[in-house]
Amino acid sequence: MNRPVQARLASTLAANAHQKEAFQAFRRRVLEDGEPYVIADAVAPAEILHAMDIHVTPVVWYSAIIAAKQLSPYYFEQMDARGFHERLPRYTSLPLMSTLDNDPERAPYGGLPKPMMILSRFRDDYSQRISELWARAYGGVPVFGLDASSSTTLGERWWDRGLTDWEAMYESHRLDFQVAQLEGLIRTAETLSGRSFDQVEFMRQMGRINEAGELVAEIRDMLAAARPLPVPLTEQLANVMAPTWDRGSAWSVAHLKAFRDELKGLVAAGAAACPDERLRLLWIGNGLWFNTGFYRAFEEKYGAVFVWSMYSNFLSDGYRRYFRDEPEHALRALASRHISMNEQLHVPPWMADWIVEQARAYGADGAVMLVPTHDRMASMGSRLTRVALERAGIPVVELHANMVDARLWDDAAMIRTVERFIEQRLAR
Amino acid sequence: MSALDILHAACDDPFAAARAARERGQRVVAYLGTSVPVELIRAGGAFALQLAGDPAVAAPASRVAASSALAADASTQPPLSATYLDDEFDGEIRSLFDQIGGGACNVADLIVIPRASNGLLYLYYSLLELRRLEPQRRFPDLLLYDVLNTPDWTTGQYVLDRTRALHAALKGSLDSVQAAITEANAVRRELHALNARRRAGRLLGSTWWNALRASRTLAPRDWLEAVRALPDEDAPAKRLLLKGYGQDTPVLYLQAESLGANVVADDHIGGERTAQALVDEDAEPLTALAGHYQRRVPTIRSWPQASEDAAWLALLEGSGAQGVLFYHEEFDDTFGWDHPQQTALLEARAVPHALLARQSYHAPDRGQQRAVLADLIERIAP
Repeated sequence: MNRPVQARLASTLAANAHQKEAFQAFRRRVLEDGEPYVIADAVAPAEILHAMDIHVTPVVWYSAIIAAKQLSPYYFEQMDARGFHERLPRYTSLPLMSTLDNDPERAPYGGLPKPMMILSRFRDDYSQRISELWARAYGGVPVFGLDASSSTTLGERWWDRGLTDWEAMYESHRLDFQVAQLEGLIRTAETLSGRSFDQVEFMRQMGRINEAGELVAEIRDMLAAARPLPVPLTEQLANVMAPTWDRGSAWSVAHLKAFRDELKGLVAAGAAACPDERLRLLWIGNGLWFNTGFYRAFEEKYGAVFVWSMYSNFLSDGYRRYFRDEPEHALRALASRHISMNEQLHVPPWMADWIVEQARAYGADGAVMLVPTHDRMASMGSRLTRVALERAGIPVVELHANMVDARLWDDAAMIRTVERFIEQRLAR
Repeated sequence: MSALDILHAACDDPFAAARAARERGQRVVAYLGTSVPVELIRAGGAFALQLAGDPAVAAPASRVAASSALAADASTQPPLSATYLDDEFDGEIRSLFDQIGGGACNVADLIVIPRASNGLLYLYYSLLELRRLEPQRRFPDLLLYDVLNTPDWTTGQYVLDRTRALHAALKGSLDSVQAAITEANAVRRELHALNARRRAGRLLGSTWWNALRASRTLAPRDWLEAVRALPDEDAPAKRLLLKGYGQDTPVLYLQAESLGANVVADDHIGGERTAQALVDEDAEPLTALAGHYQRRVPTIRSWPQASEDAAWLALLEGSGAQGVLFYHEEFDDTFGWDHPQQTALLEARAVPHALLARQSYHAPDRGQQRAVLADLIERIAP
């Protein structure tokens, strides 16, 4: 007999508490002790700064926090009022709006104080613009731009080959360029912070990221094989995302071990996210950060459970890089980590092939695809991925909405769309 | 044919000269955008042809069309782009995807795609994926030129490396590269001369548009011969600068002319600033080309913004333009970040401006465009 899992896992509560405490401690260190910190893109090498004990705030992490606290409508109204049109990207600009609004009482955790620099990776056409506006909003801070080279070919099975064969997978000329940029970043961070880059600590943290990735792979295998799914997707996200942002820390490894062990116990006890599980769904695309309850909206009526999203095992498949015990090789391994993340997550065939692989591993019956409106950088591989999934026998429904702009979400209409999809294409 | 007729013909059938070259046995290498060194294509002995979007090709996508495509009814096949590309791709990219994937560009042996915008990069990957999904489709080989525009040393070294790789792929001696640079600079100088006539009120903006487009579809010698024979024209007195997304047709130029204004300067993607700088003929040729296409041919990705703003404000001043028309594509995610600051700069200078926002590529509202233009032109003092 399957038993419904308790509302929140102990691991989830610990992850949430860790993130909140870490953020508040960081604000104290910055505001009271004048310590440096950096605002950085999610696909930027925070590892360099972590090795120098410099706190990094990922843009989309803070964006998701703002959305989760239901503040995005307020900030997007501010954005409209400033003359930025309604179709401009939302996900990476929401934190900028909180800075322009300059109201620490309203901003989550008191807002983002003035950083040492903004680290921006120019993978789209607009991130340099957002970074420049942001730098000016702080009265002038340096923007360190990492240029984004592009793969000439997107080879087979990046999630396997990329772990060890990354030199060939990500192309030597691109790695040479990225290493040169990382060396520039190190020198710049040293100059601005007055701290030295500690290569021993860097290698230690790179090793821990691989260890964390192995734990996530173990967790993924457990979740993919378990029938029914023992914990809802929301619990997976909380426990994998916090170690992803805090990757390289001893806490990240310890936390993932605790999460794995808790999951093992739940699987053994026959726990179920949805005791009446009948359909297994993938969530494709970015998280629906202002309404994570949506992931559970189809359990009671249809026994339909979201079993996977791209965050579930990206720390395993996208971050792990095995390297020789030499700092320069570790740096080159790091270079290979971020230069193709966008292609892995948002560009076919990499996006499509990886998701088809996950669909098979998890025994998915169908997929719900968030196609971000007004954030087209994250949407432009969706249609091709849908074609690939349908060809692989996985029915897909598209939801056109934004991951952080709650104003664009019509909950009743979206529920109806998914319900129709379940009834017409998945019903057993 | 008159010189103007030759230019119009080269725009109406942009493949004609390439077809003729191919019939003569010359290899044809097509390219997209304005960031591919045409000098390297010509140095390798190939005919260089710029492919451009065509609003007449492909209907706008719809989700209904996409889902019906999955049902694969051959009699009601929607355009390729409706089947494979998401709704928020720019119309120009959709059109290029349909043209290339549909075989309309098969006069080319190879297509070089620059990483000059996210749209072009996604076009490259989407075409690769199309080939994987539909291996029976026949369209030219693709080659990515990973040119980046950040103006620093590290990026400069990377672009030089990529330029050398492109040269190796296209072949051609360094002497022939040098000769091609000289020839391409001759085209640029003639464009500067045409621009001087446009500024002096002796050339219509629409003629400039045709001359610029034709410079990218004709062989340099044929183009030079035609434009040198262009007679003077009487241009309307009021003067506009057109800024924003690229113009795949001269319609806005013609509309302005019909309302009593000449577009005397353009800072849109692919506009006059892309031909403003000459390639350094005294430097090592590949280094000169790399530096030129990295830093001196602006793209939507060029930064810092202060330098970009200084460049178009200089253009505004130098051209004597009295008003600025901004043109934003339907799914703009980029220029909208600049717009509030840019309008503030114009207001500080008391220069009238207007915005054509969210413009449909395939089905623009010409009436609305005309009304916005008329209002802007009306605000320009006679």
